[in-house]
Amino acid sequence: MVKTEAVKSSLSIESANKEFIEKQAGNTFMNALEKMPGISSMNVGVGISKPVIRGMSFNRVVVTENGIKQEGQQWGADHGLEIDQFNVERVEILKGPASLLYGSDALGGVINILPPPVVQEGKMNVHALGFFRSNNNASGTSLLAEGTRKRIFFRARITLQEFGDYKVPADSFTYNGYKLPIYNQSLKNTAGKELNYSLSAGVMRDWGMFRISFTEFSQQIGFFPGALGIPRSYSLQPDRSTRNIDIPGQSIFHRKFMVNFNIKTKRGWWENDWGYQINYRTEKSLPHAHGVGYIDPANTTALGLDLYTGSINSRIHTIINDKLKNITGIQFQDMRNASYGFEFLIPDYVQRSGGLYSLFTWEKTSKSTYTIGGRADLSGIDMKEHYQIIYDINQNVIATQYRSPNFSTNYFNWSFASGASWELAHEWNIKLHVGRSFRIPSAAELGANGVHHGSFRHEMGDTSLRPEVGYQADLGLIHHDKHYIIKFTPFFNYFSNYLFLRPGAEFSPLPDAGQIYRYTQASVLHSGAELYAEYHIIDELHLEFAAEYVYNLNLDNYLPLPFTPPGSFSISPEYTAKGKKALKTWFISSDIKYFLAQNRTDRNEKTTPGYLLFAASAGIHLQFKKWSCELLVRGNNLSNVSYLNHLSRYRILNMPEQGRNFSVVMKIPLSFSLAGKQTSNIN
Amino acid sequence: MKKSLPILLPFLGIVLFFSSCKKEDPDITKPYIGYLTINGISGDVSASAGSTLSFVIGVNDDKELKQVKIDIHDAFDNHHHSPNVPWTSQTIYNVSGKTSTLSPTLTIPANASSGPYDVILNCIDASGNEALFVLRKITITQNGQPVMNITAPDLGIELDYAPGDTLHISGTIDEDNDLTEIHITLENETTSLLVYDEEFALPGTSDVQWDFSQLATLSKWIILPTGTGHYHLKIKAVDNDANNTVIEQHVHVD
Repeated sequence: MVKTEAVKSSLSIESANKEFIEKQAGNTFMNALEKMPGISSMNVGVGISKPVIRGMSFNRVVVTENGIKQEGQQWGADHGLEIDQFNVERVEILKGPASLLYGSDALGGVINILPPPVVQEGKMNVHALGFFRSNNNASGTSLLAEGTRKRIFFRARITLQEFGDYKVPADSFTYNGYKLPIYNQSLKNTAGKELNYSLSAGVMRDWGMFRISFTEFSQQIGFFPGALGIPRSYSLQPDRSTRNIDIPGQSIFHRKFMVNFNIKTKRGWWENDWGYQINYRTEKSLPHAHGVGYIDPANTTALGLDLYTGSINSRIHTIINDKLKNITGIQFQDMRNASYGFEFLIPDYVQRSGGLYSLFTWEKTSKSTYTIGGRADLSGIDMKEHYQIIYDINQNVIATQYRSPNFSTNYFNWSFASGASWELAHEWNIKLHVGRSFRIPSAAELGANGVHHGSFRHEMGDTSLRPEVGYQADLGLIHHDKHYIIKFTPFFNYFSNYLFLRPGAEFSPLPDAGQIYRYTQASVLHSGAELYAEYHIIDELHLEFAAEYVYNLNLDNYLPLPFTPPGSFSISPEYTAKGKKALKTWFISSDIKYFLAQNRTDRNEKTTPGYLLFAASAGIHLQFKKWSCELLVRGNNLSNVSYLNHLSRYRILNMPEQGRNFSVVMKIPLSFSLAGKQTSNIN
Repeated sequence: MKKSLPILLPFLGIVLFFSSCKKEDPDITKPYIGYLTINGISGDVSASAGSTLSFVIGVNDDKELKQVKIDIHDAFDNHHHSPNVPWTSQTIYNVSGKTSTLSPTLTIPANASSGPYDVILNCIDASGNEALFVLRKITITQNGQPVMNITAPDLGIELDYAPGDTLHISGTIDEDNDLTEIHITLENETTSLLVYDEEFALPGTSDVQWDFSQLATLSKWIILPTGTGHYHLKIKAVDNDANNTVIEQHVHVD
């Protein structure tokens, strides 16, 4: 974990805890965070979602867990975040470039999943959580055990969930002028299952702390067959089961080993996060739909990608004097990718990167803080050439396609950030952050050349791409009183060499692939703002208002960038009160969110009409003598409105999003002394 | 608040400056496929394996055309190790100007599996705008493909039945080598729901005939719904050479 109090003071930050995430009852971890202004998610149906911060996604958002950057082929539009949402207790989201502390990819922002707090000495907690969601008959459970004795702590969690095909409020969808059926308003083959577990143990001593953790996320999920290639009526016929996971689909395994240790020093502490992670991704598809030449019909592995990443982060926090602090650190990462399957998309590669940074925080007075820092990075990539061999039915080679070159290069770049935070009279706080960030091109951007099943287009990299560089200015205006807080956070970024997929004026020679989308660079303007207000009318009743807008412009062709989230505003009243007797507390809340139409789109990208969504929740916390229980009921899309999500993979099909969905979550938290006797009920 | 205004104003100024300096309107108008005929027909066509398909294509754009692509692949999902293989073809043609007409020909391989195929025609302009594609169906015929010898009812014309009637089919499907699968479906044309969906696998190695009396023998009668409606009957036969024969007809229940 990076202790960034000083930086926090000038960057725009959101934070959430376990209660917030559970209350959202989202399909995924990212869906649970979407309520926050400036945060959205890019989805493939239900179950796959990736983070979007102020319209930035893919390799521009870093997700860290226990200080280790998650590496899971995040360049892919259909590659979701491999995080168990029930295992997240605390998360902070840095909106805007944060390359200084987090490295090259943190150009758009950071989702920083912090380690859970350690249980009080001599206590053990056991939590059982069960949930059901009506729309896709999802059910699951998450079990947690954690404890501390003699300052040795452990924690173990297992989460299981299964869901069926999800329902949309429509009987048909229109693609390219052809009307196609949605049988029983149910999207065929969108079922999935997840099995996640995590284990960690550690020790706290006067010299510091040591923790070792292991997590595994595994998911199997189907894709709506109409989304891969041109949807045809015959491929959309029901398959007799709403719970089977058929082809096309994907299977993901993500394993992480992490070691964190902090050692106290004479004038501060030395902090270390070491990690090794393995990401196995298999994308399954029927070979005949995409094959040039003959492919064994039994072979359904279109694309397999194995990614191995080792990371070392080490930093020294030094308290120079009462007013001046410093963080100096190094980051090192080694990534190795191997691919297989009957299709080719990205080459095998080895990528190593290292960075050195230093950040000073000067608390001039109790009401004014200044930060300044710099960073230098060196990164090298070695990509292996690839020839795709085409066979006939007798396994004779009939053609060899050259897809990707041997390529190796190094990139050097630097970052700079400076910020200030002033607390003025009358509860005003002003924050200013300016900086320069960069991002080196990913292996996909350099070497991709093939049809990507998830996005179903021919994506092509370019080895001549240069690192993208962003110049940023962020402002925060905060006004607060005993009863309210108002935050206005505008941002302005200018990028040179901004990397994106541009549809070109040439068709792919590959089957069913349309035009070639090439990774291209352009100068880009990226701006916008969030407005957030919270007002406590009385102690029990509070009202939240949030609005956000992102504006971007490709300065080479004067078109907007693709996948720009639409502007939105929301109102959320919540009434929370104490109950009587066994009813400890209860709440009732509502979320009303309006999304504006997104008419600013890139070439060949569809515009998306605006829509209004209603959600409501109610929850009770029961407290009995020996045990307690929490029950939550939430309804999403209560009016069952048929709407299109501009960031959804299924948007191009004009496919409406998930219909009305009721969730029920029950949690039983128990607390014991480590002698085995139950001591109390906990929250 | 006074202190924040001088900081906020440059932000707004920069945004306004960049957003107001548009040089010209970018070309985002899609090209348009004006017409497509295959063997002189502007609808679905039938052609034998080994024959030549003659296309006539007309495309338009408001500025400059760039490419036309004809993508052909099978629209059946069964594959076997067999001498015949499903045909797949991707051909790209360069075009220019605001209007272009082209007349390419493509030869169907002699060993193409019989059955339904999709032809997808698309066009892009010089800026990379992609047209709405045009989809056509070609039925490829092949010597030795399963032959439907249906004696009743006459599947050459649309059928009329009363609600709840049984659709009796008489006749056989004949094959020179080995039939592998018969698939019969009846789809509600309004809701697209299948009201009848039966697959008959023929695991033997010399199944040269399948008799529709099997529907009665196996108690798989095609009983029409009790409500009125319009339905689509589809009978598909597959042989071990990966040839498909499909016969389709509308069934009106009123």
